Amino acid sequence: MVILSTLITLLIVFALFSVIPLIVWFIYKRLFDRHANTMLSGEKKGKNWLPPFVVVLIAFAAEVIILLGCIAILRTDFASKTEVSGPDVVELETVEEGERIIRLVFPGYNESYCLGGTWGVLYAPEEEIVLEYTDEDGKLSELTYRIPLEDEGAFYMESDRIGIITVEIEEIDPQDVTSVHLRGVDANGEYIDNAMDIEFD
Amino acid sequence: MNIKMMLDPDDPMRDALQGMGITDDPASEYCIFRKSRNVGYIQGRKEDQTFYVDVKTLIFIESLGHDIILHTRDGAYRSSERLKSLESILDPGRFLRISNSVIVNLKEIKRIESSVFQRFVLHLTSGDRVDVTRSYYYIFKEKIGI
Repeated sequence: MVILSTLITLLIVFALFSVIPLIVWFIYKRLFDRHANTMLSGEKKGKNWLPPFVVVLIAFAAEVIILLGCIAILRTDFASKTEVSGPDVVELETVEEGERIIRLVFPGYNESYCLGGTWGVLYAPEEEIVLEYTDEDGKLSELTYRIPLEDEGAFYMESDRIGIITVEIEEIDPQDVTSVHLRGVDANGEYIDNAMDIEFD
Repeated sequence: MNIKMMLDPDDPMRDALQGMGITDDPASEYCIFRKSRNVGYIQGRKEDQTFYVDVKTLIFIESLGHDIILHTRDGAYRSSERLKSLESILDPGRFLRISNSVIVNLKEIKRIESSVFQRFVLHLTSGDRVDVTRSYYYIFKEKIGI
């Protein structure tokens, strides 16, 4: 399935890459030929036009730049997205009473997150996890944990598709947790840019 | 003495040379031409006969192996000249070399078509098509002012 989707993506990218310069070339060639024949007849004198093959190269280069820009935007967007929600993306597993363990499951981990910068978050030396919860008075409070991830610390792959972060919670009942925020922390204790904020219902 | 005379038929120098006993021999190693003026005629052969081809009637000149073919409105003629020497004696305002093997009469170009990559295809009034190759692309472009 992954191979098929990759192949289809590559095919679409290749088609776009070859079709757009071809269309540009076709349109510009017609205009250029008209200009060339006007110049030939000596009716007018005008500026020198760029040769069609140069325009095609420019179109191709522009395509590459736009594509790279889109990828960069997507990466940033995914990485710093304030909300990644939905049970099909991330779920907070129900915790048995008394265990006080929260498990963040990332189904489709390999597919969904590798583009979004989650690699950077999950493979950070440390992970800061902020749990927002409703306290006894009904107020919204938060708790911050810093957990080591290196050497597969709190993070492990349950299968080749599912990545799991396990956090032990002592202070609060995990049932009261309303949202979870993940942020990668580097060796100096600084946040890594590609933070992820995950909301749970 | 024999000399190749790259002179117009009505050039007075031709008579003067012939008066001195010098005959026109296209095969001669010696050659005479007017430095300050472009020639109006080129010697060409057709069916074993030699003609003076008016350069105004030339559409394009093509080099095929060792042969030079003068394509005119009246048909094709063979010439013993080299393409490079023809290029130097023809009017640069009217004729332009567009590839290693072709000189074209600019007034006989009917239509220009740009080709993929660095090439032009020229459609001539005779119906022939000749290519402007990559080496001559910008020379041609500059000349036409495209």
